[in-house]
Amino acid sequence: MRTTNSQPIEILLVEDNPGDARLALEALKESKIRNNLHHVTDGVEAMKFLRQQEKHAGVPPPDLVLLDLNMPRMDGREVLEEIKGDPDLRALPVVVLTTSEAERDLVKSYDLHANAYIVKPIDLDHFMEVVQNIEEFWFSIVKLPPRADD
Amino acid sequence: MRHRESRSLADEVFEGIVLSENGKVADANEGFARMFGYEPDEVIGMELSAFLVAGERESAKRQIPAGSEEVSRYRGFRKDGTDFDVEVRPRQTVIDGREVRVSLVLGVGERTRAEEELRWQRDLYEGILAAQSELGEGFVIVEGQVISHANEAFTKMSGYSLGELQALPSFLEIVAEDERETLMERRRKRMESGEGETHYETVLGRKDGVRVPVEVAFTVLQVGGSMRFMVVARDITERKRVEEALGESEERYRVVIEQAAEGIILIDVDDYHILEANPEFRRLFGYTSEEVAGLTIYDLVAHDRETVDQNIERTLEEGNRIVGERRYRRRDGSLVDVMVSGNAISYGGRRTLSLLIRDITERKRAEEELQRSESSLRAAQRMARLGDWEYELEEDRGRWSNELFSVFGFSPQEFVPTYRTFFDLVHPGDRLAVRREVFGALRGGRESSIDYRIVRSDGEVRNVYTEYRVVRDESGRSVSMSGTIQDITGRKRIEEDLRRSNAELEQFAYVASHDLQEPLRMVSSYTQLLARRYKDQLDDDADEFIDYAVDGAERMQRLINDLLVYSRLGTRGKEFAPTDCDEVLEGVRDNLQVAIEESGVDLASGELPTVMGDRSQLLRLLQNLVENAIKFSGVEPPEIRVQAELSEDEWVFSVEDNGIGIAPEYADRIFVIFQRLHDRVQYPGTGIGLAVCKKIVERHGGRIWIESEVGEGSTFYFTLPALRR
Repeated sequence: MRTTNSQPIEILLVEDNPGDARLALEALKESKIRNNLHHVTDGVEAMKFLRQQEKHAGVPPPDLVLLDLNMPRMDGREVLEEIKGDPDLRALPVVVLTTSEAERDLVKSYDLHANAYIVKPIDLDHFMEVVQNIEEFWFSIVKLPPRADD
Repeated sequence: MRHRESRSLADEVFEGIVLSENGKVADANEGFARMFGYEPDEVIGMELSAFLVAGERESAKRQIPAGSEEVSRYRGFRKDGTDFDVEVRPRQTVIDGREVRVSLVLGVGERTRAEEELRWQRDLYEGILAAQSELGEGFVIVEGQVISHANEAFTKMSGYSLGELQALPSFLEIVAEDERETLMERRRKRMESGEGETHYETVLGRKDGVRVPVEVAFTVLQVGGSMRFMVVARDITERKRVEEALGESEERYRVVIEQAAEGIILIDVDDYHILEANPEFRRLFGYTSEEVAGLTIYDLVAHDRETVDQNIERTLEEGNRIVGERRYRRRDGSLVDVMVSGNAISYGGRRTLSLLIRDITERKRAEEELQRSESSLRAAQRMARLGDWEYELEEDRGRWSNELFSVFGFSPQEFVPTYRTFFDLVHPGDRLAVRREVFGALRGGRESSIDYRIVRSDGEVRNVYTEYRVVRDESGRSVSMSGTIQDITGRKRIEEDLRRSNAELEQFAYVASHDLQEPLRMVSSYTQLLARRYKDQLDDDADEFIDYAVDGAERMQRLINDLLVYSRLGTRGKEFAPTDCDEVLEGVRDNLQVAIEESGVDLASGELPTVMGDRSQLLRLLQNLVENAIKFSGVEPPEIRVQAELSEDEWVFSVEDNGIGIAPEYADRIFVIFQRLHDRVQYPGTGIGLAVCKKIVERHGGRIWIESEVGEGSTFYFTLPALRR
């Protein structure tokens, strides 16, 4: 288990909407857990980040991915599929954070082995609570396998 | 034939037999002709006196017409001028209804008197019997009381054989009992005085008991000293029957006339007075029988006398004719439409006209009614662009109304509707469907309807709607079809437009609400973030502004959310399935458990039916109505009653509350989306709940309405189609 006192946790946010990204950032700022939020705006960039390719060479491997579903170029479903199909990446927890309430999206996401599916709450307070809960759940409660570089 | 045979017998047997009428030879046997030196044919028509020598002709002439039956001796005169003695034995008799004289002529000295007498008796009888019998007339000789001879016709008539007749102790045995006395009286008179009737009717009692009315003529024969009756009898059963029938038929006619459904009157042609009128006439025109006696035809007719005169003249000329439809006047002056036909007949020696008068008021009225309804039907068909048709399968021939031709762009003259010509007009893309429909209907269906396209004569494609039924005979075989075809192109277009516009609207509402959510979330999130981070750090004005912005964004969010729900009702609805409304209401209780407990509502329900529907929508429907009732409850503890009642083919649900109620003038407005009747502080909400209810009910093929008074509570009603058995 990673403690709050050790090095900050690394979170990758895949979100094309800068407003939402900022809100997530603001929410994490208020979090008790030290964290570094990395933000990319589409699936292609997300995969490069995860594989530390091109400009993402040398970035720290994330501890958690917050993934939007509807994005340009490569959407969240494709990202999910690729992460979960990659033996090096598939242990990485991926939380789908989306505005879509469609059952189709929910079912599809779990089919692709999303670790959680969360509809973005409309109310700000609620939203912040949810984001902080995600962090707390995955980093204080859940026991994850050791990181590759540990 | 038999007549000829019997005469050849006479030719051999007799010396001479001659039948005369008015002193001339009507018939004679060969013996007679030869005796006088003539060929048999030559003697017919000759004066009897020509067979006597000139000196005796006068005395013979005196005797013959007098009907004398005395045996006389004359000097015969042969054709060759020679003469000889003859003995003449004449007898008056009736043959075939005519008085004739039969004379036996013997050459005297050529036979002995005794022989002659014997022959005479036997031969005369037989000859006459044969002749009479031939004519179907019975012939009987009665000697004293006993029948000595009868011809074949009489045996048939009486039912006795000759032997039986001869064995009877008295001829009276064959006379009907009630006729015997009269007959004896007549016979007595005849015998005593030689007077009395020789010709009358009596009745025989046939052997089998049947009464046979006969007409008899009889002659008293005096041969030597004995009295004999020669009786000729004719069966008049047929004549009697005809006479009786005539009497009966007169009676029948009278009954027919008395009970006729038509008025019948007899008019004297000379003065136009009504001689007779049957009860129906009196009833129809309102006269009593006494009043009828003083009437003339002019009193009846409503038109001018000249026409009446002409009509009567023409009827007399033609014997009988249909005068036609007339307007006659009743006793009270009212007019009545009648159909009149006339017959010129002789009645009691007078020239009369019988008039048959039939009341056709009702028919006239019906005709006018029919005409009116036909013309309105035509007008209606024209307006509705709807034609009707019939199709006889056997003949392959359709009968179309005029409007139907015009639906297809033809005139009735230029198009003959048959199965094939009709199908040529069906749009090629719809032919298969129409053909299937037709065959399906012929095979099993009775009534049905179908939409399809046609190609008019001008090439234009139109949409039509056909409703039809199949007529079958007793064995269930399809005989004909009939129905209507309506041009529904206009309606189709409007329906299509409406459907498209509704779909577009729903799509728009969905997209709008969905896509609006994104930026709205930004607005509300960041106004909230502002409030969170900077409240109490800026001045009071800034705080207030932020509050308004946050509140507005929140309301906007609810509106958009509701709009999204509303737009999804149509586009995201599920297939209908049998849904138990009791179970749905239980779901409502569960969902509203908190609200029900908090408000202390008494939610009661009767037994609810199972209907075809979308369960989640029905749940939302009932839940919205119950929530609404809770929300608008008054000061009293809320009571809500949910019930359903079957009315014909639909269920009428009711949700009744004891809440604040609404004024009737708002009854319709409450179902319009975003319409609110109350301020949002006291009764929060976006005003979408009832609009959603309305949309759900309509999607299920029902109606929704409210009955309410301010302060009296409200009852929401909605209908859902009942499940078909």
